[in-house]
Amino acid sequence: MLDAHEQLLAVPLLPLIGALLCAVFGAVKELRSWSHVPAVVCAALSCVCAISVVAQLNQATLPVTFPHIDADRIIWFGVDAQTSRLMVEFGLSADHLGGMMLLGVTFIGFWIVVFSIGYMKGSPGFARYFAVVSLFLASMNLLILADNMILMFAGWEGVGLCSYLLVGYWHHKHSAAAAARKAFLVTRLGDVGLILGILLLWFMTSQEGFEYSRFFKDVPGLASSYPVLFPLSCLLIVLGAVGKSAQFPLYVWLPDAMEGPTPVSALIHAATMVTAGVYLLARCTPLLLAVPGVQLTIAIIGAFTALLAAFIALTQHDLKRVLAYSTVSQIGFMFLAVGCAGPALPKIAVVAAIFHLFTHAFFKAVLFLSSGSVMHAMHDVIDMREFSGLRKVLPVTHIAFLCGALALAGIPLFSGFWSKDMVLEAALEAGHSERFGTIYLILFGIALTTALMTAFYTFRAYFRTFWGPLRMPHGAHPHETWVMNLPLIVLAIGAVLVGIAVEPFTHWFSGFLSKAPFLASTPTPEHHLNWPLILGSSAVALLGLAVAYFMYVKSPSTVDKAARSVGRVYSYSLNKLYVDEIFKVLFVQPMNLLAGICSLADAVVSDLTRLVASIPRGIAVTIKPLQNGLVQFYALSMVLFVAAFIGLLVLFAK
Amino acid sequence: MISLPHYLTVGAVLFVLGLIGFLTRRNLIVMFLSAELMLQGVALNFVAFSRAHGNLHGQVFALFIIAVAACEAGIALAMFLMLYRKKRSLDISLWQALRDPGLEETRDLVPLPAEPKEEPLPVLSVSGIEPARKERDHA
Amino acid sequence: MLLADSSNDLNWTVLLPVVAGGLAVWYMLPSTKRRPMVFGALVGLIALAGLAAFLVSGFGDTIPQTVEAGLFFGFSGLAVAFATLMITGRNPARSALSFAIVVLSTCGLFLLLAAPFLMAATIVIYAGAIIVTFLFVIMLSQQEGPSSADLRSREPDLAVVAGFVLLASLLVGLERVYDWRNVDSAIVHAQRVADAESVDRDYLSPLPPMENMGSPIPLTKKAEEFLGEMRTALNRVKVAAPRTAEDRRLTDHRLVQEIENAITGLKISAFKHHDVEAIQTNCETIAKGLTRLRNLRNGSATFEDVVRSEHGEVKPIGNGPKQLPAANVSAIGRTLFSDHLLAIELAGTLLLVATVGAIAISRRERKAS
Repeated sequence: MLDAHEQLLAVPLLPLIGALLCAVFGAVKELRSWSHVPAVVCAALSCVCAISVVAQLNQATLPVTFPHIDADRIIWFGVDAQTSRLMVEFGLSADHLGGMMLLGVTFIGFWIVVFSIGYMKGSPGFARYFAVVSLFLASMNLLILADNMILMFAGWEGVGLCSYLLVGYWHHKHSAAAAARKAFLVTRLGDVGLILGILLLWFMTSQEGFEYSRFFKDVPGLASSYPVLFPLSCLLIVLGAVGKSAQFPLYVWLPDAMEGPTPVSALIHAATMVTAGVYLLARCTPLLLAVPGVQLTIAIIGAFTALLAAFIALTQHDLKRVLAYSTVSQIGFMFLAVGCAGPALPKIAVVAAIFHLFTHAFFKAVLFLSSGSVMHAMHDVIDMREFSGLRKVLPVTHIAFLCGALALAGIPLFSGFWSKDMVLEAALEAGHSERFGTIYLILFGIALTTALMTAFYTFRAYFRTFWGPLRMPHGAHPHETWVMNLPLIVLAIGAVLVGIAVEPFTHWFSGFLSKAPFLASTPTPEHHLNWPLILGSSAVALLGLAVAYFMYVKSPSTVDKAARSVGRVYSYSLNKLYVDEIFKVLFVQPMNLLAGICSLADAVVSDLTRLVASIPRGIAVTIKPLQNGLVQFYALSMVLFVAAFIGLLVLFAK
Repeated sequence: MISLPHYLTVGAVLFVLGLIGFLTRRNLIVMFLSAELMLQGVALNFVAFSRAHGNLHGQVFALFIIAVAACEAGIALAMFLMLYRKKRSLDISLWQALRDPGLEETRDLVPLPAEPKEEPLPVLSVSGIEPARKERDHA
Repeated sequence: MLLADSSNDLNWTVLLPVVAGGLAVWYMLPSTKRRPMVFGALVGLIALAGLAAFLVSGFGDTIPQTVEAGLFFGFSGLAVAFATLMITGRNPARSALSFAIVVLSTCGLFLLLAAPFLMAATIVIYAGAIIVTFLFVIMLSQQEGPSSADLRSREPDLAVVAGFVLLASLLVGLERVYDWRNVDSAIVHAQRVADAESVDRDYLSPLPPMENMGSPIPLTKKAEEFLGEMRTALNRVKVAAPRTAEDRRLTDHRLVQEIENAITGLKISAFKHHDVEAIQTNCETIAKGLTRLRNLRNGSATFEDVVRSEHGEVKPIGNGPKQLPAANVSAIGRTLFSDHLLAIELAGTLLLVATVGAIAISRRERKAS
């Protein structure tokens, strides 16, 4: 059996091997239809290793590392200069935060890979899909486990690449290719910020390594000696997180990324990759605690994004887009929670963010997978206007979606309720602080409003899809297979139970997470249930549910009336607040203009070059006929010159 | 006395005639014969030098020339057959693809003079009356 | 250098065969214009006669009226004439046959050069094998008679000019290297001065009057000419076989030094001071030295010196004129398998590879089914 350190290495390594094997299977014609096997097996083994690592962490207080002795450290690359030593090492380390993330990623990842077997069956590029998904799992695990920021950045870029490859999976479809490009380029904006932030931090600290521990060693000292650069670096890191986690204003790529296969949407664009930004911010809490302004910025971005995305989600007709905007909105909640970490106790705020991340991964995965199941059954149609009343033909999907929806809407006792409650509690607590207290209270209000909207749009989607008269698009053949149902059932159970099981009464989750080194030193809050808040948020969630039930089941005619009565607002929401159009005017068109000028200059320069190049060509034209391809002519020219040479020698040389 | 320079002169004349043949004739076989003629001129030089220096190295050289010429002949004739199969002609001017791109193919512009009509052959009639004149069948 | 240092003027006997031969070949080459062959043949005959004249008189030797000379001229004439026919013939088959005759004539020349084995080998391999193969190929490929390619030439004017300029250069070069007439006349001249009872007055500078004792004494015109002739002859034998500085000890270098000293002695003092004894001694030295050098160059005398090289000292074997061994075949065999063993192995390998290559090339490619 492997010891803990080797298991830690196995967690990212196994999916990588799986990816290579999938690629090999894809290259061999006979094995092509079996190419999901390595991906599934490696994901399962990776998950087992992750669980084993977390089980050992549960008792320990120190992180599990690889290599576990400092002397064995592996140098990835390094430059020795006189003034600085740029040394990047390969080191993995799982503390309690990383362990929790790892658990979610590998567990959900495994079930989504299983679901994909059924979903992707018969699709061209079957092997490519599983190879990239496996590579994604490897990159994500690396991102989580890296103990220095450059290695983390490698994983960060790896997941970005896999996201690009998977969004553009159906690359012959123009919209999919465009979406993939958009996703890649928009997140690239954030990534540039991130790497700049990392290098700034490196510049400000010892200029030796990139380990988190080096950066966190003397944060107050840094903040006082670099009053401008330090906040700037924190802001740059936040920019990276904003890009990856699809927060305002860089959220525009996520709804378009739904062009990819639905399991990919579930895995990458709901459960794991997009939450990497939240993970990064949680990881960097020690830095952020020193700059309250940045914390407030994070909270504002989060709350604003949550409200904005929920507002857009109210009227979307595309089931997956509703879920995509809800993802953006929920990640906004997590940002809000992370942003509260200064004024509220970090052990409440950060734990709330990670807890919400954890439950969100489950219920959003189940929502996406069941929408994928619907899509699979409806012959790739996902527009809610095309179908309704599916609860009879897709019973398992219906129940799974219902579980996810209840959790997302924050209906009491379901997992989303508890985590969202923690976020709200953190915001409320931050509202009691002296500095920025009012602003945090406003943010709390926004969050509560968003919770109402969330409940409404979630159940709007649910009722429109599964209730009402049975309608199906042409060519649909509703069916469910066990390979797709099993993950749905497992994740649905998770979505229902994971919240109540780990936190509100046992406090296992917060206890576990609080052992993480960067949280262990902060003061511990006393656990109590804030009954007014619980009741208030329950009421809000139930109100949203009731409104949706009334509008879409009881009297569907009120929908149009309501839409017409708020006509302009409705059209704003339907057209996503025209953000894409605004971006186009603000960024795309000036860039196009600049590109036009550049291409003009380019044309001038290249024409000049061509002019210069035409001189030798002109000379060549005159002697070109000599190269006429006749062997005898070549021989003749040779003989002519030999004869002339010898003749001159005889005649003139005395 | 017939001495070395006389033989060298004859060798030079043979060499130059072979050279001119190689440069002007367009039939692959005649070109190759011309190359062999040049080799003959050179071999004659070698043998003459062998005589003048009183040792046999020149003759040995001539022997090697014969060996190489035999190899050459074998390969060249095989190639001629292959080239002939491709174009149904031994004209070397048909193989000028290795010219500068964009350059026109070199063609023969001056037409050949018409063949003079051959005198029709008399055909004897059966019975010995004056032979009727009939065009000879060229097919 | 060899050509450049010779003081011979162009020998105009070269021009006739070259110009007439060039015209004849140009005239007879295939062309789109119809040309009567008679004129070509006529000019060709003139060129052949010119070549014969060049051979007879170009190198200063007298040609004895022996059978050898007759055979040489006969074989050479045949070879040149049929070579011309070969390159001008419209019919490749006839060209091949003309080439066979050229080969046979060269074989005759080989025989005259005491190479009977080579003659036999050439007849067997060339005339017997190669040309027959050619005829086979011609039969395989040109069953329709001469093609239009055979009736045209590629750039005949330029090719003929280039070829015959080259030939003229070669002939002039040969002439300059092998024409010993001025050396011979210089030897005779020097010998005559040396052997005479008294030196001719024309050679001696007139003694200056007493008052001008210190002024330089000019040489007479005759003496200048004599010395010039000697120097030209010396240069002629010198350049025919230039020596490097390393083999200064060889006889010919010593001889050259002696002759140069003698000429300088004549120039500086002997002619000026009417020193008859010195004049005769120096002329004797010059005549002896030139004769010896000329014979060395000709091959009719041998070096007697020790040759030093990195392998040690080597004495040349045998005196007297170089001669080929009488047992030609066995001697060639010995040379081949002693001095040229590696080369003969390589030639064998080359033949094998060529056989394989010929088979591989001419194999008919099977159509992909």
